[in-house]
Amino acid sequence: MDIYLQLALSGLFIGGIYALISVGLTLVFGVLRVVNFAHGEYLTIAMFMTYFLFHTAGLDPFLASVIVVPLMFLLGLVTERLLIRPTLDAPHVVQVFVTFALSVFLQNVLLALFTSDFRSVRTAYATAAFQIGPLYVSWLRLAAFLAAIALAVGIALFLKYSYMGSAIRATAQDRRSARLVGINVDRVYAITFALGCALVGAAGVLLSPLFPVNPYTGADMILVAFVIVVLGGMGSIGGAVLAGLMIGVVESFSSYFLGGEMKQFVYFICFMLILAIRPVGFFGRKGAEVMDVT
Amino acid sequence: MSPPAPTIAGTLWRPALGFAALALLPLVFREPFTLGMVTLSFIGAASSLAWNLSGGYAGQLSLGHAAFFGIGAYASTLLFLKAGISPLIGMWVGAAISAVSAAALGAITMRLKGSFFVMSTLAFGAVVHITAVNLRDVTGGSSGLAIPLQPSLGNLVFADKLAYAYVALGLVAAYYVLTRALAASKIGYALVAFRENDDAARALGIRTLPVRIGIFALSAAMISLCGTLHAQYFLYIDPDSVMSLNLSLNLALMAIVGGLGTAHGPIIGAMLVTAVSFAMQAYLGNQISGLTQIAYSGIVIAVLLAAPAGLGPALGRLVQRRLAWQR
Amino acid sequence: MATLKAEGLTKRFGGLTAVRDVGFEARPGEILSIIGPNGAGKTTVFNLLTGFLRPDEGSASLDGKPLAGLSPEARCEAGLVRTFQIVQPFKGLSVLDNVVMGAMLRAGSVKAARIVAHRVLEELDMLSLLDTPAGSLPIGDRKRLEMAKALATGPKVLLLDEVMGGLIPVEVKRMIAFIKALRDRGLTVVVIEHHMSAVMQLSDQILVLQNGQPIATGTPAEISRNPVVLAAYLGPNFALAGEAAC
Repeated sequence: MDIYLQLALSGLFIGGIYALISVGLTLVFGVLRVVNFAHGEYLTIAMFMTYFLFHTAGLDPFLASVIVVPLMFLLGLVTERLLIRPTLDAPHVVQVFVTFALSVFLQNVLLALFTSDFRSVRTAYATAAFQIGPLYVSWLRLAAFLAAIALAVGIALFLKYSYMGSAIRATAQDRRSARLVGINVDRVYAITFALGCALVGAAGVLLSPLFPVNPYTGADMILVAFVIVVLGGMGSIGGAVLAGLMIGVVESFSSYFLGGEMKQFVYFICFMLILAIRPVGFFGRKGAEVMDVT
Repeated sequence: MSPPAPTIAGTLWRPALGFAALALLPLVFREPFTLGMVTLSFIGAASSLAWNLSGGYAGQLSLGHAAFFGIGAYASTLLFLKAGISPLIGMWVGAAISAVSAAALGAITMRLKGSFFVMSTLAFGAVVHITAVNLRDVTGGSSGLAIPLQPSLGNLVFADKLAYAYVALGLVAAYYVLTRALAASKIGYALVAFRENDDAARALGIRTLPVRIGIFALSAAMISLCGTLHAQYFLYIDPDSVMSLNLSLNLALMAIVGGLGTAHGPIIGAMLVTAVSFAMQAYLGNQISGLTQIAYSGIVIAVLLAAPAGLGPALGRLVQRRLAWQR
Repeated sequence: MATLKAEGLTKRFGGLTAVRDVGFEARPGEILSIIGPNGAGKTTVFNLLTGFLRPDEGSASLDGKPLAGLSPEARCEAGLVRTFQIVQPFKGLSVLDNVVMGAMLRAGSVKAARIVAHRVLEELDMLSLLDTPAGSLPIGDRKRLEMAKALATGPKVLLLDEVMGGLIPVEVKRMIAFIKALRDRGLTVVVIEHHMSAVMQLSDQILVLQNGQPIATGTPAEISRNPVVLAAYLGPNFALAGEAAC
């Protein structure tokens, strides 16, 4: 029994970070209607940044976020301007392949620079833990989990209560009407995309002390992010958080019982099941994704 | 009287001339290195033609087609190695497996909007790849499988590499003709209607779903045959060479560069892409890992931003503008 | 030829009732117009009739056969076709190929479809535009193309969503004559239209919607004199204009 609890807990913890990765992806999709296939590489980049800040400047990963997250925001702004904005009205194929080619590009640039060696951020407190009853709780994982959830809640509050947040939501609903009421849609797109990158950047920072990084790390993570975004309902922040936690737990159990190599297989099965049973996810608006009424 | 179809029928002498030129290539470039380039560009062209049928005409972008390529390669190779069945039969088994799995995947995901389909093909490709790596007892895992060099038509193994070039070219020609025929039929129109405007298609009573699923399955079967040919040519396969994501990307890239949703586009694209990749390999070698991929993806981004309809049409426009200017 | 009947059609989007209890009967050889201010639910009614949306309540039938559960494609096959208010051409294709798409429904081959498409384009006086890419047409021609695509499917009932919008007076006149010719051929025609003088000239019956609810039905003469309609929608000067048009 204890082992189940322990598995659920560790799944929940990792699920929190998955959720944060997915919130960025789903936000960008919800507003720009673009699936950013390079989202995973932004995670990798943030992890590399954290790694180098830790090893060259001796910066604690949690402190490094102060530098990494704004840089990722900036990187998002640049990407949006150079690649996303020019293709927003282009055919679907162009949108898909631009971000997909970007993903391959970034992955291989990282590969050329850093090879495929794994690099880890080893903090002094990495192994610190405490016990609650039968459960063994890592301080680091708990902190990462809490920070991830806090950020996800923060972004939801920002969308709900700030002026920019309202503008973003209005644009997501209907870009033409948003423009009519004086919202600068181009600016909303830029900010939204950059926010998505900043969020995945934050996720990268939180992930750094837990997992080693190499250029393929993001590509491995992106699949699970897709599953989460679809399960939560594309464009839904709350859905992404809930689905992230769920998938974290599913993964934790499947790794234990089926082995880690089967991870991708389990994702795929989840993905197909969701698409077959409830393609709009938990909180998706019906009709937004499904084409056939029948 | 009905007018000629400008998009489809056109004139036949141009493709005939084109294929005649292609048939000369293996004779002109007879050095092993260049003959390899020609053969691989033919296999690439056939594969990209298969991808293009679903990805180009219907706009259903698959990033998992390498899985079907790999299924073809592994099916024929495994049947030959474990049961002594000729690849000439094994390739059809692979094609059938590919078609059935594509139809199943399509039936679930093609009711949904574009991005879902793209993601599901990506996931499918990853899963097949992982499976091939992990099923070590059957597939040999990452160390791959070697086919013994026993030249005979029955084994689909040839001593003279020239033969592979012409088998591949035969496949290209067959796929080209099939593409033209489908494009000019009701099926082709239904695919294009879906790609251009699916609401309008439905309002006009065009049922695209069964057609799209069928074409996706056909496309998977077609590329599966290319996978078998690839295995027979190299006499060695491993998961990375026959079912990697890069392979899927390359097929799409060829079609995009040459012109999506046209019958000649994938062929032109395959020539260009293969030539560029061989040139880079020759001059850059493998000094820095991933350099080819960096250049590739950089080219894709540049092409997409500059000429979303592909280089073929863009070059055509450029030439026309030149001519107009000279007049 | 067929009769399109709607009964108690109701559609809610979240808390908003877009269409409430709409019913009518459109008969062969008759033009029924649905009018009402923006947001009255007119296009939603078309979406419900053609299967792009599912009604929360109510039903529609074609010649007594219920349409419930049928996909848009199946309804088109049954003879019910629509145009879109925001025209939906296949932008990258030529005018001819656009219409061929429509003709494909009942043609056995592409060749046969092309012959049908040709005939339809000739009727609409669009033969000079055959090879023009649909995406580059001016709005007036796009509206005619929208109509041509729909007609090419060989419909029994034609639902026209604001085909006059954006047309210049000469084009409106031609369009009115053309729609009347279709009616005289025995087609059942339902139009959504803002162009009032066109509505008055065209209609055999008018249904007025406001906030998703029917507030009046009748002949153009009756509607133009109906005080509820005048107050709600048409404005005080309209009665005169309507009589002048009739």
